[in-house]
Amino acid sequence: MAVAAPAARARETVRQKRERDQELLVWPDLVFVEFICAVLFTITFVVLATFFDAPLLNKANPNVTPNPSKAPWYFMNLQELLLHMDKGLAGVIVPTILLIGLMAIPYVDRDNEGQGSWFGTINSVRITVFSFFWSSIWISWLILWDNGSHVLVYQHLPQLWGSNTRLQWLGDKNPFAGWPVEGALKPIWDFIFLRNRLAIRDTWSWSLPVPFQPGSGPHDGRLDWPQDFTRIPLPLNGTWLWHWAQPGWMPGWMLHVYWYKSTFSLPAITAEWAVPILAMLGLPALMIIILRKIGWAHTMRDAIIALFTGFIVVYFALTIVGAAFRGKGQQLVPPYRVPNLNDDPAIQRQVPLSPSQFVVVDARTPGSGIYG
Amino acid sequence: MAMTEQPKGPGLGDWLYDKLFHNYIWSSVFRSGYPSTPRNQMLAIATNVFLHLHPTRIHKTHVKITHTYCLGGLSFFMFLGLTVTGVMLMFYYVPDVNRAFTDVQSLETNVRFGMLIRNLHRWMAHAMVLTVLLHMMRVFYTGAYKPPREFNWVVGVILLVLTLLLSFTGYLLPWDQLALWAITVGTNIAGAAPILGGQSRFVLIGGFDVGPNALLRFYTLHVIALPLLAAIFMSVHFWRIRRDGGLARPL
Repeated sequence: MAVAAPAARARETVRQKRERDQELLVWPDLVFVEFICAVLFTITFVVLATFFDAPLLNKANPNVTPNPSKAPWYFMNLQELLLHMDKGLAGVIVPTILLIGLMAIPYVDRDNEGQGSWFGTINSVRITVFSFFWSSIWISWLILWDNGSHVLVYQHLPQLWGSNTRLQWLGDKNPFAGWPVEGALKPIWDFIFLRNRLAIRDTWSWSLPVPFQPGSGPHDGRLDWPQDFTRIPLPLNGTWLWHWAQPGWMPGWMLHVYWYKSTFSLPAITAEWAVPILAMLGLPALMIIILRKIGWAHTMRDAIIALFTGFIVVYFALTIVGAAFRGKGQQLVPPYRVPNLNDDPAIQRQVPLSPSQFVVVDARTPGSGIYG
Repeated sequence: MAMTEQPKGPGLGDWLYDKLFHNYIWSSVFRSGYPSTPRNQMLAIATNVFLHLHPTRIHKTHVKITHTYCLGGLSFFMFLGLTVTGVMLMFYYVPDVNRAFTDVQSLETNVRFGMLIRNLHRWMAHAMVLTVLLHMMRVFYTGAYKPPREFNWVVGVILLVLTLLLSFTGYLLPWDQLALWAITVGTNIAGAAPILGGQSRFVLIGGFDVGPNALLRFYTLHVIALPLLAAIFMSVHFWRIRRDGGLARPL
């Protein structure tokens, strides 16, 4: 006898009513559409495959690295992301969170409204359009900013009006010279003109007089960025729980997990983690807030449409930038300056083999061919 | 004699039709003739092993191309095409670093239609990644993940990951410069995981560099493990569509 499972928490699932008078028979109305679709696409792909050959470069050679080396196109977005934040964050943490987030969509947005038709809720189209522009503008700006392109723009501004000078002094000049709190205002001014994200770690510097020494550097009466912030010990360092030295008894693989020498570099964490995370969380959050303020987004579905659209835009934008705008050494270049690997003599197939040049691979004659 | 219109007797065509489709062997394979009544048309779907994942009747809005653009079906079509061409490629390919590249070269030049088969496999693989992504967008923007279809969306996300992995593992197999370095870049991304990155990269490629072990692992994953997993998840995916009453409709 079947025993009814206890309903732990009844899911309130509203099923659609069947409209039998509106229904068609699957045979022939659907099966034939599927069949025609399959035939059409078979023909399309046979034609495509006749005229466009799959690429085959030289045989794999670990000693010759193509420049640039690129991942398959659907992972070029991850490769692009790696250029803008810590490798672990870009390569693993962000994709994992995104996949979990994708799977969570139906559990967060449980409302049945807007089901089963394109852009079924009242504001969904304008939210999608807003998110499309918001995301594409911000992702382009972030990529350009991390490339230092804005520095080039403002340095070349006078040349627009015919002058041959460049405003190289703009970032160096201190408009607050002689002000009472000059030492505090100068870092802010410098921060505005930082070249990119990594410049927070590498070129931004300031020095404040302090009576004590909170950082890790020698006590010279001043607190200096970045050198006083590069080796900040974690709170538990030196206790039995958290050693300074390598615990000798610990097997090697465990040391990956147990950070025995735990100091962290605030400049590096700011540039590699804090700024990217701030951008990735802050900009979508700001978008939702704006959409709510202007009265377009009311429900969870509205927010999810905005976020999902942003995800799709960023996914394809990063793919396009990674594929078409990254040249040698992953430099940001216009598409016509992205090197074609087929032009590289070390990588391309140099001499197309004609059939007669082939060695017949025959396992029965081990002295011949590639086994020889 | 009064000229009354007589029905024409059976012609050659009728005779041929009768011999072809009303004989003992044909009717042992197809137990009924062409389903011409609604009842038989429903039975044709419900009793056929290949067709019975369909419902027997479907709401008329779902036959409109612009509702789905056939994207899910196209993804499945790509999977089938990739299976067929993939099996053909397996006849000529040995996943060994000394042979793999030469095998692909000789497939292109020495095997009749070898280049065509390889091209088909390559372009369909790219197309499948694209159609799966577009299918996800279609399902999202039509709100088709809403109750009772929540879990099927999760299965779909898993299938997206499997599709990417299938394409990624296949990328290494030609063993050319493109393959080697794309996989090196790709697995370095996996190796960047905070704690177990190095370990997972080692397991993935069977060593510290992309070499013979990586080729064998990727081949095995590509031709048996991942397609099998994908087929299982696809069956669940399709079956749940049918159990949930076909595609989503406005309430």
